[in-house]
Amino acid sequence: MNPWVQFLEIFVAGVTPMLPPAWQTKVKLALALKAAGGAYAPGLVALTERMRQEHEDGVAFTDDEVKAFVAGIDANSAELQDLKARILSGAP
Amino acid sequence: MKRAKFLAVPFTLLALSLYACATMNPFQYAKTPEEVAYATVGHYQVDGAAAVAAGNALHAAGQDAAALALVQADEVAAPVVKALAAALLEYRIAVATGGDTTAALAKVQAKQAAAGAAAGNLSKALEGGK
Repeated sequence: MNPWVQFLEIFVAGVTPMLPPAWQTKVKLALALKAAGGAYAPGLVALTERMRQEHEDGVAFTDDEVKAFVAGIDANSAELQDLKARILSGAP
Repeated sequence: MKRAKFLAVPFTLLALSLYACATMNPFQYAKTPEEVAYATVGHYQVDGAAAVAAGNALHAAGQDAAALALVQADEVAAPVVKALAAALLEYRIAVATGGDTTAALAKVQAKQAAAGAAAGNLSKALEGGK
């Protein structure tokens, strides 16, 4: 591993417990999810920017965007149900 | 000087990453009831994707109880958040067709409270599943 990255990870691990609880949660969650596949931050950044456009630029959400959110929720739920089935069946 | 150079990059990266973590909050732009509802539905979709990634990682690490907690939180929250999304679409139809927007907006706000709480439970499960 790159020594700078290794140093940064050790540093973050050492500093995180000293942060306010809300920041600790965000840092730990971001690090855990980065390790788990990095699904969290890009989506949150995109949604935050979209909310900014909605509020500040007046670019209203469309029906299709709302439907896409629902489709995403359905897809995530289906994958979680698949995970549950694998756990209950003892599959890897 | 050498030590300052050695520390400058990691400190800068840490500051930027913490700033990014603290500012990635779609709710900071949610002022009206519709915006709060959009943020809730969108945020839940992002959380769900994160729950899938975290759940698979937890299962791979043998942490099945934590992974199942994510699944159970989603089983409870997903229908409630989807009901909020349905109310949002009804509101948009009311706006577009000149229907009763007051009643439609009241329905959105009524669904928002339950959806916000349910979605918050998935976020808590995500935080507890680390």
